Amino acid sequence: MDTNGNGHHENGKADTIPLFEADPVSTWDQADHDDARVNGIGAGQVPGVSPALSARFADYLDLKVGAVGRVVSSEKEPAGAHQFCFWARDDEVNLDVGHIVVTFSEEAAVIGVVDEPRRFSDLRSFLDDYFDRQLQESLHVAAPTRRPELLVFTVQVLATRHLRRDVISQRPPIGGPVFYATSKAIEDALGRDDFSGAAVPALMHINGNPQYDAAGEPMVDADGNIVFQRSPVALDEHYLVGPEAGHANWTGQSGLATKTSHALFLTSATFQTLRKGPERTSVAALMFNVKGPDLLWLDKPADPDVTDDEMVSAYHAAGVKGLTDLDHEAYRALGLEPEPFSGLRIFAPFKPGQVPRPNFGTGGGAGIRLDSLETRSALNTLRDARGETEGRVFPILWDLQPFLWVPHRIFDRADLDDKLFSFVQEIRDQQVQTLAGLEALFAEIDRHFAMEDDSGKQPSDWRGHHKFTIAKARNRFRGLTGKFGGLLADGAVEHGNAPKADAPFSDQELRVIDIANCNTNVQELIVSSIINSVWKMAEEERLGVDKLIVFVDELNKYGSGEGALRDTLVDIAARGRHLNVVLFGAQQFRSRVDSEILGNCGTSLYGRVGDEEIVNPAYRSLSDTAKAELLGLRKGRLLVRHAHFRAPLFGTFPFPPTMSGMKGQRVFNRSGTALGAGRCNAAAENVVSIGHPADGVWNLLRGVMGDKAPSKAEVRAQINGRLSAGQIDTLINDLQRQINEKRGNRMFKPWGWTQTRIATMEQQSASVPF
Amino acid sequence: MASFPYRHSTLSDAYVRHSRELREQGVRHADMRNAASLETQFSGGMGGLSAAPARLSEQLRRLEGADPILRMPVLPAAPGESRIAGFLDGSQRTVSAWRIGLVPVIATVAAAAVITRTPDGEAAIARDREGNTTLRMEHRWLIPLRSGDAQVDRLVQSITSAGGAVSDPVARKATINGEVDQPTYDAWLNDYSRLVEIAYDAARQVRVEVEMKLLDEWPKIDATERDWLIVDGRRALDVPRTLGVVKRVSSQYLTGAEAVQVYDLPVGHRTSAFVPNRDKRGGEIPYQGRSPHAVDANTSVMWFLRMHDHAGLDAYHGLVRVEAPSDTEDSADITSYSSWLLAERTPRATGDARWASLLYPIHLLERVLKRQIAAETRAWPNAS
Repeated sequence: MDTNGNGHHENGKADTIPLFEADPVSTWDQADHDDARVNGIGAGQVPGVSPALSARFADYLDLKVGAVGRVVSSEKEPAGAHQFCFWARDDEVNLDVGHIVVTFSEEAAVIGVVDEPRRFSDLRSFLDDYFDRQLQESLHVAAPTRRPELLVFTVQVLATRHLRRDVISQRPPIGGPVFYATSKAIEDALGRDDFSGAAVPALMHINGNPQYDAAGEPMVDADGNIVFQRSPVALDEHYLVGPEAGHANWTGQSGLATKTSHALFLTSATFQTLRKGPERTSVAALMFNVKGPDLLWLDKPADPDVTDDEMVSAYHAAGVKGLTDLDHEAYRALGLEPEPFSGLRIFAPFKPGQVPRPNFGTGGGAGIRLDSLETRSALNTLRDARGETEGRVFPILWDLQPFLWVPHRIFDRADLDDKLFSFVQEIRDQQVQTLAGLEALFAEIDRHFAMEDDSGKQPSDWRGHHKFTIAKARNRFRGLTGKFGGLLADGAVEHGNAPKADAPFSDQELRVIDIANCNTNVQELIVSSIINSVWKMAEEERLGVDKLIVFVDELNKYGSGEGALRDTLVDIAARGRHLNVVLFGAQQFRSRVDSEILGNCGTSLYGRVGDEEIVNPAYRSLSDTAKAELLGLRKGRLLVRHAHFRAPLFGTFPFPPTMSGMKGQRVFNRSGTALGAGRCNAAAENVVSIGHPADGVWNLLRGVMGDKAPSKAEVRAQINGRLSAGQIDTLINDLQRQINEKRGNRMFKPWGWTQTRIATMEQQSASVPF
Repeated sequence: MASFPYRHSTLSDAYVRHSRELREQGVRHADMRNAASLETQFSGGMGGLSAAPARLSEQLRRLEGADPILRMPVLPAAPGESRIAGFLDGSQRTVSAWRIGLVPVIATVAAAAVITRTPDGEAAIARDREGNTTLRMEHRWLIPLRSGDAQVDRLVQSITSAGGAVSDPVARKATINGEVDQPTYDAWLNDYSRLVEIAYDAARQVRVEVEMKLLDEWPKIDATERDWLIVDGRRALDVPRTLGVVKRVSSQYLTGAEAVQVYDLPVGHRTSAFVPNRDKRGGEIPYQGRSPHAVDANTSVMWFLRMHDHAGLDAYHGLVRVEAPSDTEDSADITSYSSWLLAERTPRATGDARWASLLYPIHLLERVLKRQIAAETRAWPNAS
């Protein structure tokens, strides 16, 4: 006997087998969405989601696209608080790594970044498929039944938002539908609600769902392709420039114009955000230009002023493409203006051999007053065109005094024994400030050694320093002008009204120290000296601004190993956020940067990383998928980690708002390119009026020969077409050394020696096969 | 007990020795060394050792002008040739719930569905022309209703009042000529083991009922009125455009040389067709609501088809028995149906030990059904 019960389930399971059929109720129209907002629950309830969650989080979900997959957890791969898996709807082909999705736990929305994709089938081994294929005539013949292949994504949880704002939930998601996250969800997941400072736009996240227009229709581009949802990724000001956390670090391969471009973009975004913020925090940045003209034209906009026909033509002629429509759209979406740095100031040392002659005082008291000099053409920077340097480019010139405080930097380690160190200290105690003063001291010491005592013996030491030590010191000091050519002046240096590279900053100032063309000795000395000065100002609260960003490229060069600069950088990383100095560092090899610096960075950004580098422990916190993505990351795309983000995420950024260095040279400094590389030749004669490298040789000859020196034109004529710019620098250094060593030697003929040397160098150059 | 004759050699050594002898003596034999051990094959028990002898070949009606049965080659259908569109299968899970005195209370969950394919081979649970899913589920309690035990009666009352369905497995088994034979019924009531066996048999019938309903509906499900449905196992009803594929050939129907023809059947060959002359099982047809076009399944036209090479394996490997509608007569049609089935050899159900005779869409459907049943029995100990 059978009884009729209600155990027969017909038509009731369609929603439990979505693998095999489209879910007819998984998509919403705008009316449904509005219902959810207005009425909370009922008509607008999201299918598969509880009424309470539907009502609270409906605006987190792209319901027009509908569910894109379902959360799965198994004994082997359970869903966790920080990671879970979901399988993707077969027809949602836009879903990919880096996209942000939303699903739910019992009482919370779980928002995460799509990570590793894996495609499963029920095939037990590859061989099985191979054997199957033996039954068919050709490989391209499809079997009558397609073996289901399930695409499963791992998701790194960005945030879990509970129904109640006072509850912090870490509960893993339960099996249920997964949706694309809306911009609102992404903003919340990135902790915008928890920001204590202003939101600094950093990247643009692109999701797999469409961007909708005001009518709620998916937007399409000119080619008819769907425009994907773009959401700004913002950083918390207080975690970027302090005081809660601070510092940012970029890593990635060189040559992709991503690290520096984004550092500039983020600096601009920081400037604009703080300027517009309610606290009106003053901010400045200090950068070191280490390559070509990279950072020399940051005051020039990426796009020309359209009302200036001449400028438009110049941009066009130089091949400057400017910002694209997408770039402008990105700036608008990020709430930024593509404006250049109006407060740019560039500091550079002189070209070797072109340190100006003293213009005040006489004898040992002679010195150089920088504010009364025309230095434009003599500075060792590629930005040297008339009209582009005034008020923008300023000299760095030191007399001997600061060198005496860093003997470990100016002398070779092998030379700097205790005896020499002690003698340098003696020089400091003697209040010697200039090379001329030092020469006077050596003359006095010579006189001391020339005197005989009562027994007729000459003294072997001076103030306890043996004469051999003093002879060694004299020799080394005389080599300094060659070693630090362009930076070290003979006489005293007075800035007068000329700005100083290590002076306090002004709001919105971007100070660029151009050391690109300097030798390594000069570069390292300037970087360490200025950073130490800035750090000292910060400790003394004399920065002049509320926040100072110090951008150091090639951080692995300065922020690793041992040394005072490395110690200072570690100190800045550790304490800088409290003293309002933040370090923006960039490098190709993150693994070679001191872990204390990296560990203190609140924000890390990753561009394309090489396979040799990415295996290092510095990347261990990234998932295998993220690492694999980094290996082939395209230009303009970065992975970002920030204090508020539980998981890293990818994003793009628009072209920086400023002119690139090379393009800037072409548009604003045409003569500079002619001098920047290759041989100087007669064709370049038309640009010598604004500086010529050979003038350094003439300056040296003039200094040692006075009126008997050859004319500037004569020197240029000897060099033009025979030596390259690099060879001229070498010549200047060699000549400086000769002058120092043979000072007082009447047999030394500087101009004759120079002409011989030019011929030798030309001959050597010609014999080197290209 | 006779002593083992190969005291100083292994069974494998003996096999080699005797194989050589068979070859030398010209004895025609098949190597089956690679077949699974019988313990593996019968791990679920004997399934009821049939007392009945194999049906005699003389009782068959041989078709295609072949007497005795012939073997003939079949080529797999080329892409696009096959008209197989649907696959029907069912599954069940039967669990013991309680024992009240000597009365076992058994519950079963049966599921069945039809799976169809899109032109590019993607499989999905089918819907009928009205858009209703073909996935069917049935919960059934299997309880003797004439136990005379008030506690059992109270349980039945409780289940039915909550909307549950209850069947009496003993009454079904003890029915003779439409009447329950009470002495037989009472005798079984005192045999707990027998009661459990009877309940299990009833549970299988529940699943068969669900399958048969779907089979009966195939003409309603198939919108094209030209596509064919493959039934996993016997065709319980003679519904047009349906083929039954019996994976485990327990009834060989043929004897003697004809049976040898079957077990020697090379891969890609079929036998000629035949029709059994009488109802194999006898007894009732469990599904009572069949449509007018569904007639007694035991009039099906049958033949054997070797899907995969069985060299070195047991004689059943890759051997299926195909059952076709009773009006099948044309030899070309039988060959076509066989070629359609041969084209289903790929992809293989590599995750299933029965892959050689299990069609992949059936395997897929089984997995879906098992998951559905698992969802219905979740948290039940030992049910998944």
